[in-house]
Amino acid sequence: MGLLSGMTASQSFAADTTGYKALVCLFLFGGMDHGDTILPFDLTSYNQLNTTRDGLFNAYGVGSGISSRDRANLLQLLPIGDTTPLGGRDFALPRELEPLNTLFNDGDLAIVGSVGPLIQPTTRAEFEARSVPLPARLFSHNDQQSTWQTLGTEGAVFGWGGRFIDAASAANVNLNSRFAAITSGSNSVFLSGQNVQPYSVPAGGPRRINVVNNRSVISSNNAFDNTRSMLFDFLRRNDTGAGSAFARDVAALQSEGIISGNDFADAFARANVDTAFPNTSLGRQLDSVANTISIRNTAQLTGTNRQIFFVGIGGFDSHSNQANSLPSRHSEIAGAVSAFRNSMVELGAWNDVTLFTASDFGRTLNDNGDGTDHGWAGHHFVAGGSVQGQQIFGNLASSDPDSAEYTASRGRLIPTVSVEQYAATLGGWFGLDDTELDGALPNLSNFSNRDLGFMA
Amino acid sequence: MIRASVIVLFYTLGITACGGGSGGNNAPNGIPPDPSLATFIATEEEASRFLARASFGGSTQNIENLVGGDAAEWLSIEFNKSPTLYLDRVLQARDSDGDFPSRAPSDLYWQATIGSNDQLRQRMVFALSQILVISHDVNNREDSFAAYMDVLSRNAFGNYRDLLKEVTYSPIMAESLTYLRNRKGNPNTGRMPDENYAREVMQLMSIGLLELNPDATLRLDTNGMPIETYSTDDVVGLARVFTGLSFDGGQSFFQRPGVNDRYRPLILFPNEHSALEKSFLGTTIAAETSGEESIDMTLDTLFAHPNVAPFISRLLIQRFTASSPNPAYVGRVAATFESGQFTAPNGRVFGTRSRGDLAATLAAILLDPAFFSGASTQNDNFIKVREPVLRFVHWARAFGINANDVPNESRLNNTSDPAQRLGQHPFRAPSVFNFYSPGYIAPGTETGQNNLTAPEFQIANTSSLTGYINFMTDYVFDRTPSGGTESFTPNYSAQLALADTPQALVDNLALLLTGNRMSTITRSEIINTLNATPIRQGSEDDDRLRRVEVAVIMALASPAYAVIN
Repeated sequence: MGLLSGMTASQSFAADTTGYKALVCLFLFGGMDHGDTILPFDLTSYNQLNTTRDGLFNAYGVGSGISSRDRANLLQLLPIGDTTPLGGRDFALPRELEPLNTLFNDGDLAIVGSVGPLIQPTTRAEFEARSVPLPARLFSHNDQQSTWQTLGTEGAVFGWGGRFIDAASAANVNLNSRFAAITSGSNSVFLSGQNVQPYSVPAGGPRRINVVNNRSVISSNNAFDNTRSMLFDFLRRNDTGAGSAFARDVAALQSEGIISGNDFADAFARANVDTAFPNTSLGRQLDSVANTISIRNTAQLTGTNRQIFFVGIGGFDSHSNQANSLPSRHSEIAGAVSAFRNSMVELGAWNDVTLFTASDFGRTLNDNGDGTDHGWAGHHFVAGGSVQGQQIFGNLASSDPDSAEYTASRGRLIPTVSVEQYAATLGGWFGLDDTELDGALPNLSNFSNRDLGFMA
Repeated sequence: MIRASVIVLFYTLGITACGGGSGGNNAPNGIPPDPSLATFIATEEEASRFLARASFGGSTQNIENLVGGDAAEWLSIEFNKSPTLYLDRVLQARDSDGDFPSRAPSDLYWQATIGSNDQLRQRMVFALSQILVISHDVNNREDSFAAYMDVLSRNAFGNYRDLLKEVTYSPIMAESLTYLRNRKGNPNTGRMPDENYAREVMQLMSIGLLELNPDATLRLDTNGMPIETYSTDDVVGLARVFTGLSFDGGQSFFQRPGVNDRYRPLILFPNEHSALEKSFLGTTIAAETSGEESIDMTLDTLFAHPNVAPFISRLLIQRFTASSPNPAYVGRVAATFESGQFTAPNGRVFGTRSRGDLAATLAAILLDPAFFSGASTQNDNFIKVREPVLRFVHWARAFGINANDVPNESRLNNTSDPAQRLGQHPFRAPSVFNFYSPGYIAPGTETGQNNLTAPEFQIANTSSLTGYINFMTDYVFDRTPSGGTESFTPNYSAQLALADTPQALVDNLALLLTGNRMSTITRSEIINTLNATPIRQGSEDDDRLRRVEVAVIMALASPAYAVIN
């Protein structure tokens, strides 16, 4: 179609939109401590971390024999593939992440180390000297959440998830993008594109308008059918003659919500996932995602060949009390992601779906007594049937805060993998070509390695 | 543990519902109203609009009382009312085990929004609660929350510098931003002070991330780039200041708080306070300076920063009057914050002439000429998106809900779920970043294309708007029974009297709820729907009530009600 519409070569849209593929972004709000998620396991590295994080390890009761951070209680990762970059070091997950350890060792999950925002490859010396361009407002929650999602600080209005859908839609006019970008509730700028806006499907599924759909609200008497019908028209009317742009925006959103909501609810009534999810916030969100994927072939979603989902949980800003807060967050992630994998296997869609984690930033290697502070790079998980599982990509840093892997202050890990490389690897699997990836990821061309290899 | 008998005892101590202030005519030492002045309130629609900005919404009585008065005199009366306070009532409700009714602080605040007489102050409490944000589980912290609500209520018309100090010493803020029992660093282990409050008190509560001009536009460097206000080194230096704070009453830094320790200001434990030099933002606090003195010097440094006036002024404007205020308006308000004094058109003077005076700042926000000249009518720089809590409470006030029924409303226990409730609950923002960001621009919208900030749109989406309509439907149609106890019963008597004449009914609601900003299309659609809603012989009363309820839910779902204009 690119040729027919007279596009030049650099503008040609060639995204592969055959079959069905979905990405699921799991955002861990607050900045998850990568150093307390993927722990060193070989004795030397483990002991070094114990020294560096004396306060935190004490808070965990390390040495008691029953602490989840006692080395004997960690779950070793057994990576395959090229482990040379690990330099003979071993790594492990805490027991709260046991289901992810199983996914890893079964080949359904990969780890990507030291991922964070970068404009171009950056060393410690370059960072300290400010001799290369750096992402703005590092270490600030809202700006780094925005940067992960949009590659710009707060106020940016296009996310790379939305741009991926834009590219897929431009390449295939028959692609149905109405329900292509789906968030579980929060307004994720990640899914906003030029031509696509996120559709919100809350945990528990879509809701209808009770005053119209529940006859008992006004009166079950037929005498009020006209009222219901006119009320419905009123609520979904977009052209309301409102005097302010703010009011017109609300009307448009309300109209879209009601019209799409009814169609979506009709389709959702046929959702058929049997897998049980944990009754946690993330469990309920991923349950909705799984059920939404289960209706991808219904009439209302015909042509929805590409979907991107956004789910998230908070509670990772563990400045204090990390030994109590992080393990329960880990359990929530592991339980929900494991159930999600089972549901996709049930639907026969596991090879078509890739879930990946994202977070504001990692955290300082030096603790503050019983918690950790804002860092930069962090380690991330990618799960799916098409993931090159049981492998570790990128850099899993040492436990020495004086190492050049960290900034000079407090052990803030410097990324060796940019968010855009991470995104490009996912986008390539999703079907985008190099031109489309460069369009969605403005600094990608500053990096020689555009495909980290973690997708089949 | 919740005990029914305690709750009954407790809530009979609650405030009674009453109006939202009387008209300017009745001001003590009032300046006689002068119809030639801009701030003179000549009509009911002007009164309705002003009350939507300055209170949780006007009732018919509030509106009528204000007509013929001056907005400045209304403010003067509000500034002089004694504050609604919370802590004493929460403490009185404590049971013999020392536990509190878990809903107590929240219910008392709902009651205040709906029924308290100090409406402007409580609206300011809501605004301040979204700038100096607590994000912490209320369970077992009811007294700590109530004490914080008192801090905001007492200081609502005081000075921002004083407020910031009380906030810094508040146990619930220290727990929320994790500097409670924050220890000085330990060079032997590498332990460093917690940076959380150091960072957020700058980013969110005083100076912000980027250098500002006096009108809150960005200062730019010679390359045309914004200038960051602080670096990581500043955070590391400042983090040393907020060490050594723990509960008053304990013998030691780590002692568990006693039954009366969670609501009193924190104290400094010198052994745990960093004795090192503290260097940040160009200020150096000498080594060995005491904790108390270090905090005072720190707050003086932050408060003296030129960003404070535009930064705080813009945030307050967004909570009262305009989601995307233009620089000129912000500049006028920020200048008042700087001077600490505002003179209304009728000569009424507000403020103490101290920089950071919040009464003067509020007067500048609410009495800005743009709102009284007619210029703001269709100007998006003078329109605020009405956030969900304001949408709900305005309905309750407009239709005479008895605030004492709040504890019977099980849904008000938590209105945070966007899919089924409001997606917002006072004092329960999901993080210190509040429910939404002040710089949020909504993608894919007309306002976004026009580069207008719309914080409130960050929690508005396809599912939350459906959730809002469903939540309001249950209240409007009085479908919220809670186990047979009396719950919110709207008083539609004035509207029932108009049910036979849809045009008059719509006129009534358009005035009461939207200050007559309802569009012609919206009005005619509601009228047509009401005309199609039969009043049948033999069931006239029931059918009139249905008509009114249908009219009210349509008004509440109309675009005009989505904004304060």
